[in-house]
Amino acid sequence: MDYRVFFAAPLAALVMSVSATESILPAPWTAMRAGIPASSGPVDWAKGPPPAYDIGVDPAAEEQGQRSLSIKSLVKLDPGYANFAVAQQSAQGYAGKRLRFSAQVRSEGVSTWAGLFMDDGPKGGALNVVAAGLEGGEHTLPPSGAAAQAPNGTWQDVSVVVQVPATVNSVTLGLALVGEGKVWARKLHFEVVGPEVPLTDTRMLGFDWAKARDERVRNEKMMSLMRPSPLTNSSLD
Amino acid sequence: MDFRALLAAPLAALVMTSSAAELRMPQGWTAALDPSGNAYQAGVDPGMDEPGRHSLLIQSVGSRSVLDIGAVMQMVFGYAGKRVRLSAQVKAAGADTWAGLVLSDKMAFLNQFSASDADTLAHVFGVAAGADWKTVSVVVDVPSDGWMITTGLALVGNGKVWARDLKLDIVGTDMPLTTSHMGVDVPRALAQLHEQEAAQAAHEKPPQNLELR
Repeated sequence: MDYRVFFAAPLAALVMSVSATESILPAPWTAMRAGIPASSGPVDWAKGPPPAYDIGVDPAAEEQGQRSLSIKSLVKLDPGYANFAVAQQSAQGYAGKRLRFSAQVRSEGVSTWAGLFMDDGPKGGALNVVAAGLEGGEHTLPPSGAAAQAPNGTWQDVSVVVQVPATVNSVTLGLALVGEGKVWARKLHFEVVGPEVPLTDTRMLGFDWAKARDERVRNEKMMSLMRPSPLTNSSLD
Repeated sequence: MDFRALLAAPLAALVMTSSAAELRMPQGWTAALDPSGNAYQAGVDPGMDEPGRHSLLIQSVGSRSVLDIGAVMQMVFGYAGKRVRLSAQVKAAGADTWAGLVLSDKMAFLNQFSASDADTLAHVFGVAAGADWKTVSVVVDVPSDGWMITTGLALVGNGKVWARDLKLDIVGTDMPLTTSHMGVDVPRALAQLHEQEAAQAAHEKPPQNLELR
């Protein structure tokens, strides 16, 4: 995983924590989640907010040795935020190529959007820029995406096709869930295709850049006015 | 406290999985290791433990580029307009590039990306560790609209670095500011980054483990 995929943009408000999830996400897949629970009691900030999504390989969904990747929202989420989670990784060296990422997907109870995505933006920054309300987000398209639209629980063949610009070295691809719900993907496949294969003209939906920007600016202002927070666990216990 | 006050944007609860789990990472601290996750190990060093006193360790694994960075970070808020001092006892062994205590007046990720980004690096102040335990301090002014600062321990290149007795406090304007930075040769780091990108671009590397094993 190339961390610059995450850090190419000046991520304005990112707090990282390392915590175990219920499911195991095998390497080199990487989980990224941004979920704000709808209501919260007192929070032990050293532990961070409660997990909003479970991301990984779902053992319960294994059928005849066929594993599936899954993303599930765990709690009711605050609709005021662009809640989303992805399981993703990158591919390199495909500048100028047309790529297809395909899988069988199924979903349940998706509030906003779920499906496969592939981002040919430089260094894969589009998802961060748009979802975090970073400057320039109004000019940034979300990643190309193919939604899981079949009725609840039905496996469906889905593919997303992008044309990688000649100057772009790295693309990011994976499974995404925007908002609440559950989504699974299996039989994942990645290939270079010919120019006759139509490009995906749909996007990963559900992000309101202007709203995200306003939230970011407001919250940065609020945080700048807060009382100093001491170092957490400076004794390294 | 309503934690949403801390979560300034939707990405706030982003979680990255760290692979290097051989050392215990103390709660509240985050490892920002190299892209592979294998070039550094970080956590509490059991070999340095004393009763009631732990030491944070970052060590390189194998032979690393002198431009790679391994760090342990903690971001804290609420210091807008203040002069802030991070102090700790630090010590290094076999550090071939730079190792020491760092403090940034903004949110900064102490990873390889910052090595190639002069703008980011200009905000990462640091004091290098020596061969023996010594108390060092990094002092910075946080801008009046600064909503987050970054504290940490960093190792650039190969070697080991330890920190203990970490302390963060607000100091008066009579306290001299730190002018030294985390020791990264930005032009060289940038050149290496471009070399790496060119090498990557020349070889197709498809996504791995689509079988989810």
